[in-house]
Amino acid sequence: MSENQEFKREMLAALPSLRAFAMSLIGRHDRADDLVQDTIMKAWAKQDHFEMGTNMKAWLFTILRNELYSQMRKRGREIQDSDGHFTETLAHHPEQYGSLDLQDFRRALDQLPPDQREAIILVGASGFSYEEAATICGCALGTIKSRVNRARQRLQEILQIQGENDYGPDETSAPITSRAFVS
Amino acid sequence: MRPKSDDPNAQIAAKLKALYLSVQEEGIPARFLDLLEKLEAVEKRSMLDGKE
Repeated sequence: MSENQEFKREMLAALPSLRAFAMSLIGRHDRADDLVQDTIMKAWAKQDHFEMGTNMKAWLFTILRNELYSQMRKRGREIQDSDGHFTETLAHHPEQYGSLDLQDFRRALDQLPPDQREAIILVGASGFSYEEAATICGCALGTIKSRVNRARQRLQEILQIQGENDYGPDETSAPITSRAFVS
Repeated sequence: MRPKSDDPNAQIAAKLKALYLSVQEEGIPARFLDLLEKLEAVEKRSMLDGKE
């Protein structure tokens, strides 16, 4: 197989997770997929910089993240306006969040500052180590650890407040929660 | 032993993973497969042009 084909194959293998990362950061399928598309094109143009055998997933995540922040700087506060953005999200795509429980969680995630949100996603969902997450975000290991801790605390606070106005644990979260203890 | 489902960190971790996996398991949309094919075709063409 040529190096070119191998590059493409490794990129394809990382795409489902890259999309999940984009979607977790942004919360909208159309915008997330546009960002993934920009990332693919950037990565393709820079493929000579990629060293085969190193971590393709981390490389792509870094490009996506840099692309997102450079777009955010260009658009000003538009993306960071989490309240308005979530309302818009639900109005357009109510089905994409599955259960009500996950919709609550999505809303909570959207309330985090962007640096905390990306830190907890990279470590808690994408499967990166703290060290890898620090490299992707271009910051110190201690910074990532404290962002993840603050994200956890903040999510707990938000979800607790929501829970008090709610009906308590529901049948959707109960099985998910108990599964987490089995694995 | 930690009490089941009372540990808020475990609940948060499970929900975050569920949200993430719900997208990851969708697979790769056709638009990205098409895009990669186009990028590859352009590259092949420019390589051929270069040889001429």
